Amino acid sequence: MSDIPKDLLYTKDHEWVRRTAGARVVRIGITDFAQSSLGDVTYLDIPSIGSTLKQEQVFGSIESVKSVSELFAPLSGKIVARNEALVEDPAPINASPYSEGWILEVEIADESELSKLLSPDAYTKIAQ
Amino acid sequence: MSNWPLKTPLSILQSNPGHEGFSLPQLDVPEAPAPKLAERGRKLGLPELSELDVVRHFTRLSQLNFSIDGGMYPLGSCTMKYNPRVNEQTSSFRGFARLHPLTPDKYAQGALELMFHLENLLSEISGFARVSLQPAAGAQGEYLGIKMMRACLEARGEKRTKILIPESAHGTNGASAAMCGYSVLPVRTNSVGLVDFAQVEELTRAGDVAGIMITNPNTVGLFESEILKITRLIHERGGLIYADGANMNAMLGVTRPGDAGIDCMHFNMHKTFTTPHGGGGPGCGGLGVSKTLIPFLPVPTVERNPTGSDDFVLDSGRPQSVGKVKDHYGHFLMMVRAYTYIRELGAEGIQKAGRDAILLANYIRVRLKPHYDIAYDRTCMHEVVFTDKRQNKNGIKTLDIAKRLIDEGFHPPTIYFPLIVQGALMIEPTETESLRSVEKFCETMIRVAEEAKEENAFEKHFKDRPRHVAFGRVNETLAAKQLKLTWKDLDTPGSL
Amino acid sequence: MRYLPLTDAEQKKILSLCGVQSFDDLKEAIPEDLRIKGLLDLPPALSEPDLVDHLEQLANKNQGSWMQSHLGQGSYDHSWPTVIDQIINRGEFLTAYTPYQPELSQGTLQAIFEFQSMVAELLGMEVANASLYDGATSALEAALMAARTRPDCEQVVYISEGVYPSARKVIESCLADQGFELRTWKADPKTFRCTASSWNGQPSERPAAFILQSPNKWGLVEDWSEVKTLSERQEARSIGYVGHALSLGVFQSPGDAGLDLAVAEGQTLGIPVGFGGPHLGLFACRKKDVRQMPGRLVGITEDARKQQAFCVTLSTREQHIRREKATSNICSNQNLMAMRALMYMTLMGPSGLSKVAHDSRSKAYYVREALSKKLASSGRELAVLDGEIFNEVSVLVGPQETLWLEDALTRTQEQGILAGTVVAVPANSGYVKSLTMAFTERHKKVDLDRLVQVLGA
Repeated sequence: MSDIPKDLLYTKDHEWVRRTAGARVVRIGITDFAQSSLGDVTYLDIPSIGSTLKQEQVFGSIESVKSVSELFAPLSGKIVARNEALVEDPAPINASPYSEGWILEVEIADESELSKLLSPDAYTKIAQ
Repeated sequence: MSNWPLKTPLSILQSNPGHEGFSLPQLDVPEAPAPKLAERGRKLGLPELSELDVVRHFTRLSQLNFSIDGGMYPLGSCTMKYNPRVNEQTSSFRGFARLHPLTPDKYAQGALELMFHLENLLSEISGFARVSLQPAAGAQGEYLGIKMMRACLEARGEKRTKILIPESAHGTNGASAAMCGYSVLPVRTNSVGLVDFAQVEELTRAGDVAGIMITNPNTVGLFESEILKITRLIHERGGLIYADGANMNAMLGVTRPGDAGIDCMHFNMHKTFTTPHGGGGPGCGGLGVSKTLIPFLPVPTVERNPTGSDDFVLDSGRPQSVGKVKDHYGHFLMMVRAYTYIRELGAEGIQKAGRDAILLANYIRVRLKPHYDIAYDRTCMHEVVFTDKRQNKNGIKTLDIAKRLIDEGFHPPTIYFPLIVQGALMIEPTETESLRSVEKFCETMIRVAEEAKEENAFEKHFKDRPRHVAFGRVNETLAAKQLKLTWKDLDTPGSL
Repeated sequence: MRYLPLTDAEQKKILSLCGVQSFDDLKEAIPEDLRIKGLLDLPPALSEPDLVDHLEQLANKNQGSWMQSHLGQGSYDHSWPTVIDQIINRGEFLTAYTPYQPELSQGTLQAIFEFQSMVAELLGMEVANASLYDGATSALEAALMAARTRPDCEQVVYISEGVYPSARKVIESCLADQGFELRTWKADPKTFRCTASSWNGQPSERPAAFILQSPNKWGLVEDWSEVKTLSERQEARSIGYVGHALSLGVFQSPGDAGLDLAVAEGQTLGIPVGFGGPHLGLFACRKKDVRQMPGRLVGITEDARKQQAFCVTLSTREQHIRREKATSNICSNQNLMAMRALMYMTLMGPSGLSKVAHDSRSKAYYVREALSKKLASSGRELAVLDGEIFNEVSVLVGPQETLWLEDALTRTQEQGILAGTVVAVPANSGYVKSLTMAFTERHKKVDLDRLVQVLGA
C-alpha cells in the first residue's frame, strides 16, 4: 500500500504537485509508488534554475541501479528552485518522497493546466 | 567465516620498486636520439611485481570466479555450454596467431580457406545464402543486419523510417535500430506467448514499415509458429525481416531460419558455437543473409579466385556494399575456435546438439512445473521461463531465489528478462550438461520452492544470501552513488 | 560424443517424462515444412587427432606467419611474456560469464577495475571503461560521445589524414548511419603531419570533434597540442586516438596534453595480431563526462560483510536498460583481451613498457638511418620520411619509381620478407606512395640489415 497524501495533486506518471492556496509557485516530486518501483535512487538529472517546462514533456530523468525513468513536467512554467541536496545524495527521494525528497519548485505559467492533474482518489486507482 | 579462497589486494598496493616480471633481449642497435616532441615525462604509475607475484595475484583472482569449468550456468538465452579446450590449442597455432591482417592473400591462404569454409558451414546450418563473419559480436551483427536492410530499401527507392520490435525483445534490438536511424514500433505478445500477428498486420498497412526484428525461438523459449505468415506478410508489404540469433542453439539440426523467409540473422558464436565467454567478451558475431541482401554485404569478402585457380582472395569490389562495421575481417581467432567446434561435431553432432538442448530444457519444464508458475504452459525449445507469482504469495521474489541458489553451487538463471513476464526466471541447461547435472539443478530448485512455502520463509532461508560464498550481497547502490572507478579514486590505498 | 553426454536411454527417459512418444512430438510448434529431414549436408564428425591435424594443415598454409614481417598500420607483432598464455587459459577466466552476479565474479570485476585504472593512467585520464572492440570503434564512439556533449554542433566530425585507412572506413560508415559526415583534416604535404594550420576548413565551422591519430599511418608522431588548439578554436571536442598503445611508453599521453577524450588500439599490450582480431579498444575520459561514456564500467563498493568488493556500475547507460536511448548498442567488452592486456601491463610494469617502446623505436631509427644513406646514393626519386617517429619508417616513392616499388616488394617477398604496407600520401607532397615499415623488439639487427640490403639492391 503506497502512501498517497490527501493534500496533493498527481499525474499519471507518478509525480505529485503541492500548491499552497493561490500561490504562483508549486513544489513537485515523485510519489511513494514511483520511488518504491525504482528502488534505491542513485542519480537525478534535472535542468537548471530558469529553465522552462512544458506540461507532459520530458524534463529530466531519475536513475536507480537497475533502471532509469523519465520525468514528465506536471505543469508548464519556469524553474525557480531545485533541491540541490538531492544532486549530491538522492536518498531522501526514497526515504521521504513528499517532504525532503521534493525535486523542483516551479512558477506556473497557466492556472488552467491544474485541471489536468489527478485528485488523490483518481491517482489511487492507478498506483496499484 | 573461511579465509579461503584467498583474496588479493589491488596489484598497485603490492608494488615493490625495482621488481619486474619480464625478460627482454638487450638492445642490439644504437639507442635512438631522445624525442624532440613531448615525451611521456612522468613515470608510468603501474605496479612493479615479480613474475611469481603476478601469477599469484591472478591465480587468486581467478579462484573468486564462478565459471562453466566450475559449475552450471542455467542462464536462459546465454547458451553457457562447455568451451572445448581443443579450440584453444588450434587458435594458438603460430600460423593463425601471428598472421598479420595485411598479409598478401597468397601468404594467408590457410586463413582465407578457413573463413570460406566456416561461412559455408554456417550457411548450411542456418539456411542462409551467404554469411559475413565481419561483426565483432552479436550486437554488431544486429547493427550490420539493420544497416544492410536499410541499404536494400534505399536501393529500391524506399524511404521507410519505422521498424517493428516485439516487446519481449532484448534491449540491443532497439538500440541497433536507433543507431540506423529507425524509430521503433513495439509489437505485443499475445496470450499464447507469441508475436501478435494481428497487430503486425495493422502496423504494416500504411506501407511505411521497413520490417520487423524478431527473435525465434522467442525470449520466452517458444518457437514462433506463425513465422512463415509473418515473413510472407512483411515481404508482401515491401519490408524485410531481421532475426536475432541468440537462441540458435534450439535450431541446430532441427530447423533453419533461412528457410523461414528471414532476410538476415546474426549469430552469437560465443553462445551457439562455443567461443569462450571470457568474463564478458570478446564475442564473435556473424550475419547470415538471404539472396536479397547479398549485394550489400560488408567488404572485403572471401571468394574463390575468379581466375579459376583453386586459391582464395579477399575481394572489396562490391559496389552496393554497406562498407565496414569492423576493422579488418572480424574476430578471426574466434572464427578458428568456432570452425574447430563445428568440424569436430560434424553433421551428426550438430543434430544431436540441438536435440539434446531441447530435451534437457523440456525435462526441466516438466520437473519444475509443479513448483513454479510457468509463463506459457507448452512444450518449450531450448529454454523455459517461469515466474515468481506463486512464491510472491509468501513474500519471496525472483531475486531472492537467484541469490539463494548461489549457496547451493549454481549460478542463478537469467532473471527479470524478458520484461513481459513478471519476475521472469529463464532457464537454459544446454546440451553439454549431463542429465545427472540437470537433475541436481532441478532437485535444488524444488527444495528452494519448498523453503519458499514455509512460514517466515524470507527470514529463515532467503535473507542475506549468499551466505557461504566468499562474498556476501554486493552493494550496487553504493557503487553507483560513490562512483569510484580507478584506484586513484580510493581515499587511501586499501580503503573505501 | 564427448560434449554431448545424453545417452539413448536418457533421451527415452526424458521423452517418457514429457509424456510423448518421440522427439518429433516435441517439435509440434514448428511447421512441418520447416523441419529438417535427416542430417544437414555437413562434413562428418572428426576425432581429436584428425581435427588437430586438419587445423594444423590450414595454419601451415599461412606462410606469412613465418616470414620476416614489417607490416604495421595499427597491428604489430610484438612479443609477450609466455606466462600470460598460461594464466589466461585458466577456466575461471576463460569460461566465466559476464560479471552480472557480482558475488560470483569478484575475480573478473577486480581485474577490470585494475584494467580501468591502468588504462586511465596510460592515457593520462581520470576514468577508462572496460574496453571496446578495437581502436577504430573507440574512436567512433568518442566522436559520438563528443556530439552528445555538444548538442548545438554541426553533424560533422574531422579526422586526421594520417588515420589508418581500414579504421577510417569503419568510422565513416558508422558515423553516416547516425547522420554524421566524416571529413578529412588534411596533413601538411611537406611534413606529413596534421596541424591547426594545415586544416582546410572554414573558420565558421562548428564540428562535433577533431580526431587526431598518433602515431599516424606514415609512422610520424603528431603533436597533441595541435588538435587541442584547433578544437578550442572551433568549439569542438578534441579526441586523441593513439594508434599504437606502446608509443605511450615514450611519448606524452592525450590526457596529459589536455585533450577531452583519449582512445587507443591496445592490441600491442600482449595480444596476438591474429589476422586482425580480436583486438582491444581503449577508451578514457574525464570524470565529469562519465555518464556519457559508452561501454562497461566497474566500480568499487563493499559487500554485506563490509569487505571491499567490485561490481558493474552505471548500467543505466547501457542498452539492456535504456534500449533505444542507450549510449550505444554494445553489450560486451573485449574482456579476455582486456585481461591479457592487464597481465601484460602488470608483468611489464613501467620499466618493461618503457624498454619495449624505446627499443622498438631504436630499431626503427637504425633502419631509417641506414636506408637514408642507401637511398640518397641511389639517384632514385626516393626519400625516407623525416620527423619524429615511433616504430614505423616510411620510404616515399616519387612518380617515376612505381616500378621500383613493385620490384622491391617482389624481391623482398622472394627473400621471405614482408617489407611493409603501401600507403597513400598527401596530395602535392611530390610523391605518389609511401612504403611504411614497422619494427618491434622481435627484430634482430641481422634481420634489419637484411631488409636494408635487399631494399637497397
